Amino acid sequence: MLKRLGAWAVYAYFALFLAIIVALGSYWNYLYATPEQPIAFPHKTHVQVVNLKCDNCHLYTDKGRQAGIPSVQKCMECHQAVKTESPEIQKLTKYWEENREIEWAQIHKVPEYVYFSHKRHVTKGIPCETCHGQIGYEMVVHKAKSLSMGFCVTCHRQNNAPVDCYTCHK
Amino acid sequence: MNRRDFLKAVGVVSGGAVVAGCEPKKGTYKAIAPLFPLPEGRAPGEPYYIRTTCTECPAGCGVTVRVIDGVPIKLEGTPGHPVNDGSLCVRGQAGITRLYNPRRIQKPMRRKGADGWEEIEWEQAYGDIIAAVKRSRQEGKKNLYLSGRTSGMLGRLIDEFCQKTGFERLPEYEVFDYATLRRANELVFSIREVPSYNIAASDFLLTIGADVLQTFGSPVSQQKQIARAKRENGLKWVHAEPHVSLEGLQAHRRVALKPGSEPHLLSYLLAAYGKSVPGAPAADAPSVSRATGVSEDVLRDLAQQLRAAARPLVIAGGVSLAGENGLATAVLCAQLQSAGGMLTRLDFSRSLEMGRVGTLKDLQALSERLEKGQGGVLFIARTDPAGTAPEAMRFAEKMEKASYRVAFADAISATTEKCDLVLPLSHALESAGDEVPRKGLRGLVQPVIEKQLHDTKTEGDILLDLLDEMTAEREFRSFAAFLKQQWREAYGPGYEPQFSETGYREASAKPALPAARPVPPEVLKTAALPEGPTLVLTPSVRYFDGRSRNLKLLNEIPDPLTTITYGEWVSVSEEDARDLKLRDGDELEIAADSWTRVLPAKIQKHLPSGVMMVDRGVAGACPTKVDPATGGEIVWLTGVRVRRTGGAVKLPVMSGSPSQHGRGIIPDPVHLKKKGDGHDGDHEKGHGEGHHNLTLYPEQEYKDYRWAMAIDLDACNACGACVAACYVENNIGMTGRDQHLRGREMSWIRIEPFYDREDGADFLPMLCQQCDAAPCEAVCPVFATYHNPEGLNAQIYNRCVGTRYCANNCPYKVRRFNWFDYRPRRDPQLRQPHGDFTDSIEMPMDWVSNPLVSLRKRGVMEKCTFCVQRIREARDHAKDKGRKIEEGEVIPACAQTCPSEAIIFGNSLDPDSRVAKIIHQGTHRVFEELGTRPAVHYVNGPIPDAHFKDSERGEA
Repeated sequence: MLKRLGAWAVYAYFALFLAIIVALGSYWNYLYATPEQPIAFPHKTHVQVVNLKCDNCHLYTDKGRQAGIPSVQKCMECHQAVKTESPEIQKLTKYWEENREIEWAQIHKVPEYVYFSHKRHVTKGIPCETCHGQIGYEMVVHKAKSLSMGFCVTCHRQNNAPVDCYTCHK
Repeated sequence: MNRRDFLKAVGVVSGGAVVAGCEPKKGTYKAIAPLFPLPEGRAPGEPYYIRTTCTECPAGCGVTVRVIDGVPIKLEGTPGHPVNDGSLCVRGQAGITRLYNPRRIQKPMRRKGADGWEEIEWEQAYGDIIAAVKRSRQEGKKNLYLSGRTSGMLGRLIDEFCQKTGFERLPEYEVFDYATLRRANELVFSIREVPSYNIAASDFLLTIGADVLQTFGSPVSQQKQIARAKRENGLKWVHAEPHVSLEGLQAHRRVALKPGSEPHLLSYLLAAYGKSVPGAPAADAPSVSRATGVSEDVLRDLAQQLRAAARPLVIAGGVSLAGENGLATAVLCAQLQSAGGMLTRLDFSRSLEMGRVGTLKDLQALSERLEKGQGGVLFIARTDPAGTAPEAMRFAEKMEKASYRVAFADAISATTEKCDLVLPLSHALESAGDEVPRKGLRGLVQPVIEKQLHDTKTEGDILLDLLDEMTAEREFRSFAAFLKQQWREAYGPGYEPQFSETGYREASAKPALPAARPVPPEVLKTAALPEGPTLVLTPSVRYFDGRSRNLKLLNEIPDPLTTITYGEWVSVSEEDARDLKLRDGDELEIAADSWTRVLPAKIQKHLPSGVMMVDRGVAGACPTKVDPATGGEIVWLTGVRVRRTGGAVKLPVMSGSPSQHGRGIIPDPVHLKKKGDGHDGDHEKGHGEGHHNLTLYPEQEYKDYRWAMAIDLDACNACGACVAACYVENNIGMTGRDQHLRGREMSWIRIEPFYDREDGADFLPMLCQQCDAAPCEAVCPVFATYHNPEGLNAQIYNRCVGTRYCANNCPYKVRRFNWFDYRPRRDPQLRQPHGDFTDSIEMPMDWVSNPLVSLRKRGVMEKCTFCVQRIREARDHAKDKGRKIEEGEVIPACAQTCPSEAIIFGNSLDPDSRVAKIIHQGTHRVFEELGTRPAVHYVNGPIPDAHFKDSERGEA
């Protein structure tokens, strides 16, 4: 087949491959860019300056599977008075006044087929940083750990936690 | 193609796959911050439970709704509820899909042109109604309010509405109106009601035509009572019937009667008690035997057993009361109940609450009034007379003579098609209300879903709005406020915590013993059924009176007798099939009077020759008759003409084979086996033990848990509740008719009927057997299925590549393959009342999915996991308390809903667990000779019960 088509077919084939790699390369950065959040929320300010603990706002870390995103009302408990002149807080106030929920872009996520319980990990005393990195020092949240199956299993093995597939796969 | 070409092709394909496999755009995953923190005790993503009441049928079972993040996920029976005590039937389990049913009407609709509809706002709808009411007042016509069975406080509001606005409230219309039974009880006991039957206290039960497992009375309660009485009193159950039904095949003994000969049998049994009723048919054995077609020996035996029983009970109902001799049957049955000392087991203080349900005579009267043009504005709420009333009444045509017709409905039906305006009703899970299933018991209906799905309202709210607009007085803000006031009046202040905690309120009732009185002999006049083919409409465990037919889930679950899923059929006896040279699927043209219907035939074993059966829910409006004596419906169509059309269709029959082919799937006719004859033990030694040691593989070792299941085949009634529960719990895809015809159903648990016995059938619930030496595990090339340390044959969906080797190697046929993506998807055919369900599940059916179980994609094998998500949840709770999972903490969905408590689940390593005790007693395992060593054990009662000590059971 190739003999009949000639050498240009081979060049075209490799050129196509090259094009795919270049396209993928440029897309890659876009793919792994930290997404835009509706409000530029700085964890660093809240943790380092105000000295809040994680579970002051994420109320359910030791109560259920999900850690829980603080409700708008929770934010407004402080921000009705604090820093009301900041444009970001004015965005927040607008959400509150319009009775709208904030749609945060999710950074730390596991696939749909994975069961993960914050409660089980937090009550074992595993610090938040193990999976979320130095989130308390970040102005913008980014994904510090891969949260891949290898990441989970390595830790489970080291700590003699169960490694049966049904522990996490649902 | 040479090697180099091949490699290059692989390169191109894989390059493409990398690009295609890229993640979706960043930031598409949204985590939504709620406006307000959750109430105390709730956490996001964690289930919570709300009590309410099932409204699928009048039985009013208590329901506990599992809700996650404000969305109802699953209905479960309320433990301790006086009706259903923790169980639900197949319709109750499927009830949640009615909330998300894509065929629901989503906005008020006004007729536009001949067959078009336009969506309008509520205000416009009210405006239209008020204008129509004004017009009809000017014309001097009567405005009418027809509804389905109404119980609870809604009835009071309807009365108030009718009184203030000059509507006439008509007797309610219900297909199963028990008209004949109520009339007979009125004649004999002077109480025009259907009592609650205390089967639990009986030791001998004779049911005559009554479909006590399916629709008659309170099916879940009756199933539960039968199972408990079998365990505790050694209940013996005989079912006499003129056709063949689930009850006949599930009873210990089935007595086949000639249609219409029930009074003869009852007359004979009355004579056995030394009682002769004037006007009743002759009671001597030869003539009764001739009339009923039952041999004299069987008759004598039956009478002797009935006399010998300490606490017998006889119930007549169903198709036996829906014939020409229905009233005679019901009256003689009441006389027998009296003569046999059974009245203590008929509880008229807990009668079924029939509200103002009338009879077909009332509907007849209405249609005559409409015919004369006397009808003004006609409200039809929650009922479908045009689709279900006898065809000769021509209700659909006469309806159109009313000047303006308004339907209150949740979905399109034959009735809404004839209306000018359709007002969409909220589902019970979206509404406040109450339901009175029987006297003295009020079930709470409360809104469970946080936001209504569509622009719908409850009937009560619509009436309050209309009252506001028509009379300009508004006493109550909403129907909920009206209800609260009514309840406060009824129960006094402070009723609320208990009511919402338990979901019901029961008044203590003192049962009064009814006294039987003689009846005029003319009501006992019987007529022999004319010879020739007869068609009988049978009530249906799946569709009830037809109201559940538009739920896809109930179409997906097989009919218990035939295992047909989608579509319609007529059951034909083996003899008739031979005469007509019929095979399954051959089309028959059935004609009666001017009515004709072409239906595919299904040959049904045990069906008497000359009798054909069609599901009541399938038949719709057809030439049934009105019983002149009682106003009940006569569902026996005599003298039908049957003709083969020559055509044939493929029926979606799910059962692999009607026979066990001698493979000992069920060891012996289990129902005939006597207790304590040592057979079980012998069997275990001779069958199970012998194969036990034939293994080359190392023993499985378990540390803390080995999950196992025992199924009591004597208790199992093949009702299908477990199947529905499994579908909802495990997000099982609904594949539709086309896929079923290709054998691609997805149910993880199924019930196989085997018609091997001459006098009945055996039913076997089949699910993954979680084998110790599982053939599926060894052949998976990617380790997607493996043996879990707790004994489960785990299946990791995202690891599966779909080779299907495992399913090929499974001898139980319990692995299901996703040939297509059966996950919820939008479907254009939203507005078809009985669409053919060919596509996959439609929006918003995706809401019903359980977030604790992953949704399987195309090309993935799936299977029963013993509800591993429930095991995981129980482990989570146990770990919180720092202990191991205890007995009873894990209940799979199938075991939880089983009305006869036939499924027992637990940890077989715990010697105190019920399942371990049962296994120790000796059990049967299917295909044990293959060496698979399953963890599902089949037993044949009695089983150790958590509630009863061994000594008590010994006496029973």
